[in-house]
Amino acid sequence: MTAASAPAASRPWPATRRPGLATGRLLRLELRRNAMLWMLPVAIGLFWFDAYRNTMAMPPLWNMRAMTMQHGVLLDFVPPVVGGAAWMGWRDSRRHTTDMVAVTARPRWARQLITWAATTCWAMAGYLGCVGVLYAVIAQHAAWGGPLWWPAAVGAAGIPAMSAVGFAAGALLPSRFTTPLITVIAFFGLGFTDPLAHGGKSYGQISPLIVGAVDIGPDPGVGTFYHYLPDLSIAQMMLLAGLAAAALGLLGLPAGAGGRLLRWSAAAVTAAGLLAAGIAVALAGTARLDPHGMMIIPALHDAANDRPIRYTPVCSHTAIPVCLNPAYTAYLPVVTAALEPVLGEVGGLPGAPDRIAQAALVYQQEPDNGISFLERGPPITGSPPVLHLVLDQIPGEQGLTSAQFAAQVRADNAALIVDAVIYGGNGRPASRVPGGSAAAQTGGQGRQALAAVAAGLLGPAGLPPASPAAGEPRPGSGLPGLAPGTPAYAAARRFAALPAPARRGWLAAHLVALQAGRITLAQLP
Amino acid sequence: VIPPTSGTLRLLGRDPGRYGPRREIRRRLGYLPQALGYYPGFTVAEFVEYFALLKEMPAARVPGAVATVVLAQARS
Repeated sequence: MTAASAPAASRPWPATRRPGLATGRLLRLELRRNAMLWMLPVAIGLFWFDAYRNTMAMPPLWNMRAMTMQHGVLLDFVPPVVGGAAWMGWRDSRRHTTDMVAVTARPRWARQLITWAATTCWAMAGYLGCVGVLYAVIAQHAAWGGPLWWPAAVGAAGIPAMSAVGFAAGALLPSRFTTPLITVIAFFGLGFTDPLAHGGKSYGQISPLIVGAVDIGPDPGVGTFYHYLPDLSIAQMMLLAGLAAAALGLLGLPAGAGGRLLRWSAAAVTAAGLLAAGIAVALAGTARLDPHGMMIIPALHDAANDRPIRYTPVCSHTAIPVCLNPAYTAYLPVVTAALEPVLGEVGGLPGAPDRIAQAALVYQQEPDNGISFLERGPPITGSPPVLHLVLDQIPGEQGLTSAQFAAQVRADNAALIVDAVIYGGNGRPASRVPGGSAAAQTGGQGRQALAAVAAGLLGPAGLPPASPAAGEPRPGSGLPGLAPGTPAYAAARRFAALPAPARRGWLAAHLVALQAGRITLAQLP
Repeated sequence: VIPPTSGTLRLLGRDPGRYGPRREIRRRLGYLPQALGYYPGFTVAEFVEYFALLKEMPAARVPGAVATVVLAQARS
């Protein structure tokens, strides 16, 4: 080799004194000329078509709508964000500028990170805009509570992750097929993570599409009476942050990405990202259902979140007040109308509940991947007695109409209220009275009279004396149905035909004798 | 720059084998490929500014650089 010497060139310009300013100017240029900007209409269209419409179809409760939003929004943003980012990552190969940028002073990894940051900024702006509009509309509809931020935060964490994966694929595998392939792979890859989750302690729950317990999903009772638990959201965000870090770190590993220190830093970022993602998956595997319908990850759980949410219930002005969680304010008229006929009949009588108060359900994981919805205890407790009303489904959920909702509320609770009055209070069902249901058909005159009066009270409330099946207890109570053609059935029809004040007046005067078995069918008015 | 098989290489008075000096060399290096690539979405001024920033040239000198190559009329 021939040694050659040449005079060192003078410095053509002083090194920039404010590298942050130069980075900002590069970022501005990348923002102005970024393909993701053109993908935003696609993202917004997909969001409106899928996540927005599905979310707005849910009942106007913050928890249900925010949880529905999380389930759909990431899938909506995958195609435009991953595709747009891959397109930007492939830019230098596509535009034959690889050699030109390779000989510039700024490290390649730093330059790529700026391009990725600009791409992600637009995607994030689109996401935040969509979620902002959605939350603003929800705020107009929801009667109580505030925005549920954790589902939105998981979605926000997903944007950089998707962008990083797409960008890294485009940059590291420059090909015209990379953009469509990585978009399809990311879409179906994310979509297929949903079915992987099943029951408690499933690693598949790490999927950012999973909101709360897999088998419950958006549920009116989750996050309404108790705080929304962020455990699963934190693990999901950890996974997404880890994926983003790993993908971005990969960009800095190849020779030429930068100096030794920079490449070591990239390797450390990649390793940290993979570690965080692995830990997140492991944490998701330890998740278990808590009694309030949410997932607890012991390592991430804050016991302070187990406290019930304080609220002032909204109550009806009926003979027996019906009090609901304020989130359910919109349903108070329907619930009141469903129960009012019975409340007017028995309000103030011995054994009648003093108040009807909405209660939270207890959720319990079943071994066969199912979840049981249990009541917290006897339907009527306390002194003065309070009937605990459970609304496990509300109109708009799974196609439930207001009429079906009212019928369900009436069927579940009217018989309980009448049962409490007629059979001596405290919610003692007739089936536990010696000779209860069967005795109503064949037992003594006193017991038949009890059953007839109960059926006669329920008739005007829309529950015919013969439903659901003669002699069988009604769901939720021990009150028997009556077989058509029997003397008890005829007496029930006769009692039901009385004007409401007359029924109530007779019941107030004869309730003690009725419960003692001293009233016969023939003595019923 | 291909590393030397033996001996040492000095380029513009610096060792291109080390990252720091190589970065200084790159700040002074002009490169014109046979197949010129460019970003169609960028204006001429933006493209020049972009590469000027990558070469760590002060952004204030970009308009002058554009004018130097007689493209000022095509800046936007």
